[in-house]
Amino acid sequence: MSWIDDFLDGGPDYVAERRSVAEMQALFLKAGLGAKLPLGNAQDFSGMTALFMSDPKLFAMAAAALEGVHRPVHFEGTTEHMVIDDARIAMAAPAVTDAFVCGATRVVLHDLDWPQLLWPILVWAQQVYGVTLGIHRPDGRTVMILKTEQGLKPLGDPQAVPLVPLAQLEQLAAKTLVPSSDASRMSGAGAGLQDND
Amino acid sequence: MRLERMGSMFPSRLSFLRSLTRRLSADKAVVTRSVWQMDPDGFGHAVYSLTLGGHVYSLVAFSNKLDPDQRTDRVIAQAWDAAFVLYDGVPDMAEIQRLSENAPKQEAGRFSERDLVLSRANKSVRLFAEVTKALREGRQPDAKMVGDIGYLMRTTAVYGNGKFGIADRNVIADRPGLEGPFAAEMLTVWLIRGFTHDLAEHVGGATLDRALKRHLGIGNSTGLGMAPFLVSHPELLNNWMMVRETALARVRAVRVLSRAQSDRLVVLAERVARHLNQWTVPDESQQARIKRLRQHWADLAPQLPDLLDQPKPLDQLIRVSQVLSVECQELVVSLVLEPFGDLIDGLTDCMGVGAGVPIDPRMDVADLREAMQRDCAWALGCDFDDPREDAQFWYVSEEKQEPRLGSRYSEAGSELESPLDTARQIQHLAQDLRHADGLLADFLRAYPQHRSAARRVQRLATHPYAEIRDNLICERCKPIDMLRCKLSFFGAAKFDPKSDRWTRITLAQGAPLHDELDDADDWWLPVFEP
Repeated sequence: MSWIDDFLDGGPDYVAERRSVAEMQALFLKAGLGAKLPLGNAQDFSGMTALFMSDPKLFAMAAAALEGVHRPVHFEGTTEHMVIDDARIAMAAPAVTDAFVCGATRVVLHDLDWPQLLWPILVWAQQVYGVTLGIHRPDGRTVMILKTEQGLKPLGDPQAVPLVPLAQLEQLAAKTLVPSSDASRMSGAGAGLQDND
Repeated sequence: MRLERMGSMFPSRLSFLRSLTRRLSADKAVVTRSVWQMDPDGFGHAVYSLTLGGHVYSLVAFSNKLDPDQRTDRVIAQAWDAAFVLYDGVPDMAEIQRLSENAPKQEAGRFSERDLVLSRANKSVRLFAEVTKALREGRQPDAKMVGDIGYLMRTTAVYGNGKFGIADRNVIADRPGLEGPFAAEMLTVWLIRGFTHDLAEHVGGATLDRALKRHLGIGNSTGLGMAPFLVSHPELLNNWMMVRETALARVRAVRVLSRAQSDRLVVLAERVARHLNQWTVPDESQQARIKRLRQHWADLAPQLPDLLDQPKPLDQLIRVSQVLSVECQELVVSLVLEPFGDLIDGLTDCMGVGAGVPIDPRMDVADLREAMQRDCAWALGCDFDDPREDAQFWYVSEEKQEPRLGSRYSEAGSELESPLDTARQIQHLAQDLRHADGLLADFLRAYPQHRSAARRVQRLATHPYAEIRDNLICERCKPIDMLRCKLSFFGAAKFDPKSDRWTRITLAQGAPLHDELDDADDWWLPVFEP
């Protein structure tokens, strides 16, 4: 079993600590880049951090959603009725939001890796673009997003952050760090090592 | 907005520290020192409190013994002479205890939502020793040394907005007095400055002369971390510049000056000349620039009375300055803003930023291409086949996550570079856009790697100062230019570059002391007159 399966099975009393939204936002951005997500997608994903923090499970799923390989979404249909197959949420989220901002009335996603994350993603779309959307699950492998009048119910305030997914995010973020060498230590920051003046 | 101009800027009355002291003065803020637990050598802790906009804030300061081997201003430091927290309210004993266990650890500590700003500082060893020795001997310290160094401690980081668990910016963003950018950070450094005075007087056992004390600002060492901030906060950068340009346009539109306004400008120009004569740095390149600036100022100043008698005199002055060095041009900009608080101070309310500008996926890619041609020549003109154009790469070292700059063709790690290559990103976007048509949303589904660049290009239509219009990875790029721009907005002066990657500066030199807030606003480019 992966860490995320273990984690989700182990709830609801997760070991958690308070973190600020800004530091988690920065961590999600770095983790996204560490996971080789395109910069703009990583920026959008990290912009939803406060919403991910509203629930420990959502936070963990968001961390899990960054792992693995990310490819451009495969889509069919028209601007109004789009179908995205075999999508990963971190890549599909901007595509879904863009589609509704451009006038789509329905987007269908098959075999999405973390459909639960559509809730914060669509709430974010509502906050940023004012598009109100609803989610339907006609079957186990399909999610249908429709334009609605009332939109989704809001998520709660940021909560303490569960430590297991936090560690996963930190591991991903660490992939952006360049190993230090004596040369980079001496010249990379353009400063010496002592300031006793 | 090019690097050369950014690297020539000076503080002005729009600078954040100036705004803060005006606000403290308007609020009739009173600083009280409720805790002073220091041993005779000046090690211990202190608490200073004040009320601003109806909220009480406290600086909690910890002064520690530091082995000289450990005294470094770099991010990789593990210990400092002093550590500080700006606290929301007045801390009780338990909170002071909590902070005493965490603040000295800085990045390795954990903080709470009551902690608004985290900072640390190192002593100017020479000056602190001289000041305390002199006071112990019953004399005032060597005025020349005070004038030359200008601070007792220099901060090496001032962290806000959620770092290491401190409060998110939105906790204070709507509070009167702290709405402006970096207002909480500026409040912290101004309070720290007063602490350094008190600490020296405590160790020296006597009172410092007030004029000397007023000249003792708070130093700061700033490295590469400031540069990525400007790239990753484009709306904020735009708003700072937009306010400055709007202020400049307002004063240039003034048709006639009163005699008092003309006289004031002449007096300020004389002060500038004396300030420049007191600005001396070891860096040969900057010292040569200062020398040139002094000469240009000496050439310009005698023309002032005639220029200021003409219609639209400040517009004339700005025009005349265009043949002078860029540094002189920028100094003229700060000068002409100085006497016109009534006209421009209200603009500082517009220097903050709300939610970021989202991408508009409805845009036709043909329109995006047109926007690029209109706004991005600075990026599209770079020749990235020339190795000099991508000679450098920005990165974050695994060593305490210190931001660094490397040489792409001689150092390892460029595959992990930080995305400060804006010009190159925009050029890559342009290449893939060449044969595209339809909506941007469709394009980005196929080319998601261009989402960030497309957003940056779009933003320029409404935020013309959001981008540094230069190639930040080319051989010519000097990070110090970005540092100076940001620091000038803080209110820094006496730029003292130590390389092209870091600088020391002085903040709050000449600023009102903790008990001088009734006379808070006339300290632009101060002159030391002991």
